[in-house]
Amino acid sequence: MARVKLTEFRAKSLLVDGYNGYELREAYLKGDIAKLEAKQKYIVKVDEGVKKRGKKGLVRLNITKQQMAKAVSELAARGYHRFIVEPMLAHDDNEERYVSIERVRDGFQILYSGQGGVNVEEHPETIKKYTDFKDVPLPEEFITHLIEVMNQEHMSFLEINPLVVRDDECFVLDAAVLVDGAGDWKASWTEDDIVEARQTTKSEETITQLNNNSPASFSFRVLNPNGSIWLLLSGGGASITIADEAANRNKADLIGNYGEYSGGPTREETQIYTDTVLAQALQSTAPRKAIVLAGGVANFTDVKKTFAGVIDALTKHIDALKAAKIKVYVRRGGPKEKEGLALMKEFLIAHDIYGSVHGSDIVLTTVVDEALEYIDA
Amino acid sequence: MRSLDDIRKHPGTILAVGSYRPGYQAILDFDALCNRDEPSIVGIVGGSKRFEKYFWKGGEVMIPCYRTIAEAKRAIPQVDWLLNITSARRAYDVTREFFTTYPEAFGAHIFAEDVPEREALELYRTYAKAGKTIIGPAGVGLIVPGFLKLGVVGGVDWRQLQANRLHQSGSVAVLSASGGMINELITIVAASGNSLSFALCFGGDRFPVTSPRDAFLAAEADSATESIVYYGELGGVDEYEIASLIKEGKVTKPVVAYVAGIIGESFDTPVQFGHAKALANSLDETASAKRRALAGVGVNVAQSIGDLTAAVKELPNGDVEESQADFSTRRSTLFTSTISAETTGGYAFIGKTLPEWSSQGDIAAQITAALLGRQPKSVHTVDLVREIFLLSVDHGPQVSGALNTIITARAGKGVVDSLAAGLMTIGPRFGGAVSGAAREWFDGVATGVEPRSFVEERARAKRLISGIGHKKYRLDLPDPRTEILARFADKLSSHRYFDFAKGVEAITVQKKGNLILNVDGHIAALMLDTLIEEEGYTQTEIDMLINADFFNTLFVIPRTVGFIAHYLDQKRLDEGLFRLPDDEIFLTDN
Repeated sequence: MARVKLTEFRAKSLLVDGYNGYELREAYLKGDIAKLEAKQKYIVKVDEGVKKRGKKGLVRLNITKQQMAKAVSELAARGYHRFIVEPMLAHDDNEERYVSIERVRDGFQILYSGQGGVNVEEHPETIKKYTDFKDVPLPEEFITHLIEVMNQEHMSFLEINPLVVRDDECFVLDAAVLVDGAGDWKASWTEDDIVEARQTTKSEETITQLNNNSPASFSFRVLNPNGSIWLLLSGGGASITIADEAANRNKADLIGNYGEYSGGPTREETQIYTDTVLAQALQSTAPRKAIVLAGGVANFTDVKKTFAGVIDALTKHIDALKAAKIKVYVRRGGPKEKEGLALMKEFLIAHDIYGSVHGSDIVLTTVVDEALEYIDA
Repeated sequence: MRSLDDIRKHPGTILAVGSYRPGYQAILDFDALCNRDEPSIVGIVGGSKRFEKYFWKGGEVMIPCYRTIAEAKRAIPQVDWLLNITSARRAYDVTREFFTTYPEAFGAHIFAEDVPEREALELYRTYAKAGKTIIGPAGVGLIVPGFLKLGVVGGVDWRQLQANRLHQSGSVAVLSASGGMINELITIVAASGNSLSFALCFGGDRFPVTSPRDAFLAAEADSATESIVYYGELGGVDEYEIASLIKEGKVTKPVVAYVAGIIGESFDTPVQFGHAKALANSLDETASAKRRALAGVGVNVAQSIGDLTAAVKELPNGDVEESQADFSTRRSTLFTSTISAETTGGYAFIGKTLPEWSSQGDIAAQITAALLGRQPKSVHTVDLVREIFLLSVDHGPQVSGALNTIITARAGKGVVDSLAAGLMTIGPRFGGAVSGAAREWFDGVATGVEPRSFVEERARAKRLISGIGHKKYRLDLPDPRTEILARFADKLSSHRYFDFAKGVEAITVQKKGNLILNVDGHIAALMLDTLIEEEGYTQTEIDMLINADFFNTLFVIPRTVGFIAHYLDQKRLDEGLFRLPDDEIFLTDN
């Protein structure tokens, strides 16, 4: 599983003992604001993993409890739902430091600069690299604590900028944390604490759910809702290689989606996956469309079984597919290759959506060229 | 990492942990195609079965199954590789347990995706740095054609293995981040008329224990490898390390490479592709940048997989020999038997021909072998079985089994019916207490309970103890049969079960004089001690024997002789149909 980003609120709650910030959610705004103190001045920031919030105007400074609802609704009007609120900490720019810690093969790689905040971007030459955290010119207790939390919480990357250091005291003003998604069952953060840096579509969420509830793996991302080529690919590696072929032909903009299914999914799971991709493909306004159903030579995924699931989904949408003149281009190898391909070919021809059907004797990416030819014709 | 040359010299054996039948079958098919004498998988941990049947060459083979790695260790003192098919949540613990149990093993392949980065790194630091070869987590493992298949790499269908000539060692090494693409590349190499020296899938995780760098160094050091075909992806900086190796002259063999993911550069926000590492966060990590780095040091970088196929065709070819094996007609048998067989010119029974048994001349030895399913290791075992039989043959016509045999015989029925009537009487109250007693002594010793608490527990639960108590014999009137049996304890170096049973008796006779350790109790305790001390049975094997009612057979066999004696006796006497006299029945409404 990949590295994913925590909300700043959760990251700081884990990193800072006695953390005094708040999480505000658009949906529970009134109740959340009620927890704030009347006399305190606050900083409020959008907390959805967006980079360069200052420049984008997603940070408001010196906001009182009374001003909070207005400040938040202004940010919410720009499409944001989660916010972090903290008491303002008055400090000088020269107190700001930069530190980042990344988990690497032989331990941690630590980057440190005595000039934090926006200065670090202007002066990258001030950044020094460390492999032993004891060498970093920061209070040892603080950096040891960071490393401990990173281990405990399966954090892979941590960036604090700025970090305000006063004598032995450290204040984490801004923190970004990537956690190892595979460590979720051992850590105290939950799925709810993960931010997606971009909006997800409903069909993407359907596939995320499918992936979370299966030993097989599924991914799906809409790249161009009005794309012409819709990909139904198997295998993490083969799927990229096949998608690359469109880029090789300078036709990446025609690709509607990226995604893949692998790890021996069941017929039912393959059906749900295909159904979602087909529904998305049918919504595309592109004048000519093609489905590329392809994969490498599988090690263990049963071609016949998964193709039966694909056919179930094709059957469901068959009238719409025919009406849209969508053709299906197929290339696949592996266990039960011949049976699976024969089944697919028969179905596609019978329903007049046949583009081509190939086995492992044809180069993986030929189908993409064939589909592109159909689109261009 | 263990060198490929060493693996070819000594491929070694595999312990598979987890359940993955098609994958294991493919490994056995690979072994068969390579003409290995024995399957490389020597045991499977997981599942509730005692063995699993697999196809082996034209026929079948039984691979023993164990519940735990520790249990496997008792049966198989040494294995060389772990094939870890457990889930992401168990993979780390299982790997550690394996290396703790088998510290001499060469290495492991971990199949699971989604093993936490921290655990992968922990395995790297603890084991890879100590010289163990760990392939994964994630990916499909390592295949050394002709010698070793550790994982699903190369496919799970024997036809795939055969078509790609994986029985034959060649000269092209295939290294890949992707499990699917490695098979695609293997197919491309085979179609080009070449054979593989080895194929290693390090997997698409951020921290594979065996890194791409390690894999390149292994290929360089390998005497069989003449060229390298590499598949990488966007994300991470491995290709820069590979480029440095080439630049520094640490890798000199020609490399053909494809780095996938230029499609990722067509989009504004970074795309997370299928593998954990496949996300380009910086410009260095894009497919294009990494392709340039490799091309810069002289790697033949293919722009598409079609180009790669063409480049592979240009690599030097070795001699190619097709495999003629054909497993297409094999099918699974319905039954398995290890006892006997009709052979040409005779019969075999538990490892000996019947004439051999005849010349040995000992029915007790033959029956002991029949009960154990193999030759007894110790003469004491045979002596004990013989003694049990001699002492259990018959205990008078009053007992219910003999009585039923007699009544049936007098009703005019034949030997099979009369004997069956007697045998079917054997159960928890008559004759069938040996297994029950074995369960008592076995569980008592296993839990380490004191005999006194053992007796108290059962008294509180108002439960009788099988193997304790006799109608007639008492502490002051010992059973002559148990006196003979008890002497067998002296022949054993250790007799924990007998001691425990006697300990229980010492408590129960204080309560009542006839609560002695009876014949059943003696047989159970002495047979438990004999099986463990003389025959080397494990706790698990004993547990299985108790569940299979093995101990009661020690009564059933001799008593069958007794029942037949009563049957023949009745036929000789011919007293006619038996009817219970009316005054033997108390007739009442309630």
